[in-house]
Amino acid sequence: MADGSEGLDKLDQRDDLLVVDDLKVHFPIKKGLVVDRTVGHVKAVDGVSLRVRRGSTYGLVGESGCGKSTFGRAVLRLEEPTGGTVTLDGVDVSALSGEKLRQARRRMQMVFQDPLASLDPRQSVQSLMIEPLRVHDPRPQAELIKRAADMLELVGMPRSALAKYPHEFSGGQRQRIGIARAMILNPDLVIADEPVSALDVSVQAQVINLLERLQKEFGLTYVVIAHDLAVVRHISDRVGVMYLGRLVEEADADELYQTPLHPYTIALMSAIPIPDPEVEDRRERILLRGDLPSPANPPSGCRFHTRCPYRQPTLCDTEVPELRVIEGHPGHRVSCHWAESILAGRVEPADSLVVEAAVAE
Amino acid sequence: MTDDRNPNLPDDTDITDDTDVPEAPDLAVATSVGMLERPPLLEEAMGGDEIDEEGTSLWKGALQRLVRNPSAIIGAVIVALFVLIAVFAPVLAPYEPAGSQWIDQITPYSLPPFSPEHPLGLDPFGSDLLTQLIFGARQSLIIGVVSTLLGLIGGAILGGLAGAFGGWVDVTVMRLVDILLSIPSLLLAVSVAAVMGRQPLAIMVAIATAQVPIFARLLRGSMMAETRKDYVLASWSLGLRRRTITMSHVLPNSLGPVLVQATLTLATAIIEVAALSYLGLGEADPAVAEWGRMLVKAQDRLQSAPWLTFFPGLCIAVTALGFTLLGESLREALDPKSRR
Repeated sequence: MADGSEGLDKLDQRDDLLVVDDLKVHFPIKKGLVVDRTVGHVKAVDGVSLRVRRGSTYGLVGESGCGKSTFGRAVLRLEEPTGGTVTLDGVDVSALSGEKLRQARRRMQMVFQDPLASLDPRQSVQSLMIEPLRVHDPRPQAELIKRAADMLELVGMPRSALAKYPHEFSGGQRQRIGIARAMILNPDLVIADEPVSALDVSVQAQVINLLERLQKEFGLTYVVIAHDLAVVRHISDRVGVMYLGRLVEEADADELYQTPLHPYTIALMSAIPIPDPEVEDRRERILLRGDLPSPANPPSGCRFHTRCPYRQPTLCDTEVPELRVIEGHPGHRVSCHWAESILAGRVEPADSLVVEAAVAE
Repeated sequence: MTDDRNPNLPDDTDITDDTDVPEAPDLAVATSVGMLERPPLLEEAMGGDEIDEEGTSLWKGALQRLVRNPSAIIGAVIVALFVLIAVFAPVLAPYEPAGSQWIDQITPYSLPPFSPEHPLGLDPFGSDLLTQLIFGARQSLIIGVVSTLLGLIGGAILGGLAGAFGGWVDVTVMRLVDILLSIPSLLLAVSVAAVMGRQPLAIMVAIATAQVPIFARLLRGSMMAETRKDYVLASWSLGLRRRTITMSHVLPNSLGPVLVQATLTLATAIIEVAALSYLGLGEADPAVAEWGRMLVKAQDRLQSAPWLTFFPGLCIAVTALGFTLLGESLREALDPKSRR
């Protein structure tokens, strides 16, 4: 599955299932007593471009509020994009509407964070599972039930689950039902929005393994949205880091975790504990000060400059950095003016923000 | 699956076209992910997975909680008695209703005492009080149920439209409902009854009109809350039609609070029937027994024969209490937060 380290020049020849170009989702802020007046926009997603190769897994990480969930929903057209295009297997999904869009939806499915909230509490598992089939692929009831039972078995649930209701299952079981329901239409693309963050740690691994097994079996393409760096590293072939509505860094998973180049990613990675007590003792952590700035009024220049430990006196607050490939690191895209200098060690983080991990935690 | 939904797919990547789920999935994998292997003894103690075949739906679960709740049982018994009495009034009542054959026993100052023939005595018109009370249940039941049904249907249509379409439909409908709501319900009912004249249908429409805003607001609010939930988003992403999502997901999940409210409103409706009759807007035919009017007619004998007001009043109060108890416990049973 791992998708070698190709350069951007080769990107065009790759077999990309999903191509997102300059996707924007802006929510209007309205004010006014009688007549609503738009006084600004919350730029939840502000120009994200990425490509996901067929059969691979793309991990999208970022802190809460950075727009990663909105991005996922906009790709699936569950949120209306303000601008940009989403192309799934050559079909411009963002231009579809009405019945065409509805029929196109079977090819892209979503796994939700809260499995209980995403299943209709009034429906039995059987009718939950059959419903999407009946809409897209009407067949005799018995055949549909058989497919539902097979699908359940595939996610490790007994056939008897069909007669039960969502509230009668545990969190992990519910998430498996949610996954089975998303997979029963045999989609090409599955967007998993925090698929395990609502689950116990012991169940998380089971669900992740299940997702991986289904990917192998059906050749699925995943976009996994998560804030848990360990989960993303485990499951992803390629990882994108989002900050305040924009992609700040993107690389193959191992490359990104070994040589993070963007200051934001570096700070995130420094927060991961190392399972070796001696190394862990010497580990240094870079602290990020303050909260995420308001997406309604993002900072000028580089959006991260208000919190950046590597901030330089020039460029950072005046010019918006491009997402560009770094020389010597094919396929590794970073949007930082100083990425090369940081890589070469010529730019150091501000001393006051570097602390020993033990102190920080 | 050989549909043409994926014409751009090259031949060598046919993996995604393989819709048919394998019949027998790899057991080893299934076991590692799903069913845990239990030691034989534990397996025996816990029972197999197949024993618990039937699931418990929300309504079924609510019913199970309901029968364990004493106040629900009391409420249900009262309501059942009330309905039975109303239905079998001709069989249960000892005499014909609205007869005045004992009028010679009535004087302007006194009524005959209770007797074995007339356990609750006579009313001022010379008919048996018990018979009148039993037949009065019919009026209350019919008018109460029909008016609540009318109110429920009207409110559900308005609220459903507002909740399903939103936007300007919502604004228009809800302003209309607000106007209805700004008029005190009894005053509204009095005006409707005054316009339509003294007939039973008028009271029903009058009471129903007063109830429409309650149901409309409740259903709209409840539908709006449901629409924002994840399972509706999931339905969209599965490609269900808008009609299906609204009619078979949002609406059924929003109906719970409305049905509870209907039970509670039935109690109010019965009181309002009595109140409208009391105000002289009820059934025009004096021969028809009606609890509210019995109260009015008994008023001038309040000093000498207080039981004439007491018994119809008690009937109204107990019936209303029965519906209220049932409605409240239904709400408790349906509310996931109060589950024990």
